[in-house]
Amino acid sequence: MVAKSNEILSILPLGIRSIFQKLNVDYKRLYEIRLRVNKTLAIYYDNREVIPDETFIVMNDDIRECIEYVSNYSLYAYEEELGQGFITVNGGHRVGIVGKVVLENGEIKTIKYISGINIRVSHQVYGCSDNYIQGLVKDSEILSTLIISPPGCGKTTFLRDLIYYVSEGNTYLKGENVSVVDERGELAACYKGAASNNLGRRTDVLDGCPKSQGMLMLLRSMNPRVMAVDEIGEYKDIQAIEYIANAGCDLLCTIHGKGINDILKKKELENLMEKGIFKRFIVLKKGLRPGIVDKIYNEELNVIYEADRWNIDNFSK
Amino acid sequence: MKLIGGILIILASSMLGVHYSELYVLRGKALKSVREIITNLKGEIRYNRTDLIEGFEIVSKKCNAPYKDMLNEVVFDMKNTTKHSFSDIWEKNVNKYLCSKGLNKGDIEQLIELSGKLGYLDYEMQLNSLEHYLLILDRTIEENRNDINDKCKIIRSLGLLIGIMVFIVIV
Repeated sequence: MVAKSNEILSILPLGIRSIFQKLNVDYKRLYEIRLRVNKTLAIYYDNREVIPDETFIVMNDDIRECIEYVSNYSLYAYEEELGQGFITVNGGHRVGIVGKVVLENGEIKTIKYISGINIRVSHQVYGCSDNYIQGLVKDSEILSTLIISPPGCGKTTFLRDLIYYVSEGNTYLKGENVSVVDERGELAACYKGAASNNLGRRTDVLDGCPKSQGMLMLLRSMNPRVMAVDEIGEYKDIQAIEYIANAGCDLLCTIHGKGINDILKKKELENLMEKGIFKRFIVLKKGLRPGIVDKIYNEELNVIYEADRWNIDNFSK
Repeated sequence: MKLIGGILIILASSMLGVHYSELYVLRGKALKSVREIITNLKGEIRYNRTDLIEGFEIVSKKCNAPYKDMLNEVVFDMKNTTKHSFSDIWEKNVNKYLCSKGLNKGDIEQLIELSGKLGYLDYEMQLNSLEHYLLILDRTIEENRNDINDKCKIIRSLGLLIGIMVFIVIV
């Protein structure tokens, strides 16, 4: 397996690569690298912004070079990803791109005149969900759980760890067959079909497939006990989730939001909430590491965990 | 002694003629190998939408040296992002592996020019560029085939005749 430092360095332009090679970077503490045309290079290290070299200005050529490396010198092979605004590279790192959007029949075709790149470093943090599993389990089986947080708090990291535990099993739950629809390639970080991240021995991954279609495909083909998807939100995702839940699968999902109230306000989720499909809601907060839990709610939206304390009375409600 | 020397001259001159005519045959084989590589690459891109690295990796397994070695080194250079652009990587390896393998200067230049059209813009553009290169290659292969039929006979005969002529002058 390629080391994280190599995965990151190999997509950086040679000028920026030499800056990184001079720095003593611990890639476990590196979260983002931001390249903006005619601006200084910025990195997010331990969740703080650092300017590694005040004299180095990112130029158009640096951006172009970076895009060549990110796309394996084959931009044509990443047309769909460019339309979404990001490319996932080897190791599951997400490279966000901004520039001038090109439309075709009202749909985003590609981005030209790329002016900024944000490399978000993927981290597999083993054990970040470990302390919370006891509250997500009933009769040794995982309950359908929705993980809520704003961007950058570690939703995907937390979900990845949860999938690993559900698949492997631990003191609180037995190992189950988990199917994962990894639309953006961030959970398993598949590279040529093989997962870079460890999601457990009973996990099947459908890579690069739209969530709504992927969930139905996996339900028919892999007979999962638990289905996991990242960043739900569209109507068709919600419809597929309802279908999956009706088929008897439990779900592990993430969604953008600041807290439980944000979720209650989302019209698309009304049906799911009314039907009580999710039995647990985990709200994450920003901290020094990804995946720090703020609160956990049960299906009646009573708090069962807050400020490092469990409210065991609410577990079974 | 004169007779033996003369016969040796005729033989050497004839061999020279055969050698030069063989260059056309060698070029034909090299052009066909390049054609096979590009056709396979086009198939990979069309069917699997693979990127160039993966495409070359797959194609390299289906061909022999020196093309296999060249493609492997192209893949290595691309993976290690040792050069700014794909064109630089391609040009370096085409010059390193294919220059003395039967292709003439024009063939090498055409092959290097292809790299400028690969990698960027959209999927259709890739296929069109490869298709266009294959058309040129087919024409070149056809011209070379005609050369083999016509020029090879002349070159071989010329070799023999020059040898005989030198023999007559000496003897």
